[in-house]
Amino acid sequence: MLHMTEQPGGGTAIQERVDEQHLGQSPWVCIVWNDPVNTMQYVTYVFQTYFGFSKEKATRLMLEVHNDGRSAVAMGTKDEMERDVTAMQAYGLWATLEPAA
Amino acid sequence: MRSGFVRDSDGGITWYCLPFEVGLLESMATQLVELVDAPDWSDDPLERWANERDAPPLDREDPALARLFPEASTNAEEASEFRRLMEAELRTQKASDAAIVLEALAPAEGTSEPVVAIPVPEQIAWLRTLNAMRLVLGARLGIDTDKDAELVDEIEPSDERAPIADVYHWIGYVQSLLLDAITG
Repeated sequence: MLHMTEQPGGGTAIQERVDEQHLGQSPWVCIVWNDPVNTMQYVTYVFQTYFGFSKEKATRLMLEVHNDGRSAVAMGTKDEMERDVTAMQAYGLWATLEPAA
Repeated sequence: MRSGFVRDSDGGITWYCLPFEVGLLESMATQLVELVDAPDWSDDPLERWANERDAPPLDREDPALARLFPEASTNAEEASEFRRLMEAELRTQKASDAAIVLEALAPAEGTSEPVVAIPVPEQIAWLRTLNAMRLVLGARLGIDTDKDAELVDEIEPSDERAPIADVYHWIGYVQSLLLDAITG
């Protein structure tokens, strides 16, 4: 995790993120879990709106959540997945992050 | 008389509703703002940071708060790190979403044929707030599994939970109609 006080220039952060990936740091995923309250219609809408997925892809992921109990809906750096999990929780979806398997 | 959600050519939605619906949503949105108890906002970043730091922690023993702000990891250290980084932002987001709904409802309050404007930039806040209300009511009704959700559909009118179940179903209906209007 980078801290603002350790990086006076914005360029440093970008460089470090690139380096992390170059060093082969393993990716993280954003998981959305099945939930008895959120409707299929709403979850599909959220996937379309936030991730920009097609209706078909959003529906497929929603059904994966519904049928399998969970689905990895995004993959990226840990910072990126923290951002996506925050967004999903802002929409009221039950989302967690974990290292990609 | 017109009723329901009507979309205009710009994508804006007009909701022709009933007086009791305005009152019920105002009450629910006000309760939501109180529940998430967001840190006081300030335009000064330093003051905002201090407010966030001093905000009382969320009581996750309350099932409604536990559901609105789920732990972001099964790893306790990761979950705590996420709370430290993101919880204040999420509380502020949910409170400001609900505030947008309250502002939209205010002009319709006390009118006999309420008309509520939901322009495009405010539609996500509406959907998120209606959803948060359902999550809170779902938690109050003890819905933890799909089976629990089915049982709530069968609650008898004499059951003491019936009034909460009615509001839960009604908000789900409103959210579904609004989604139909937005995506239709």
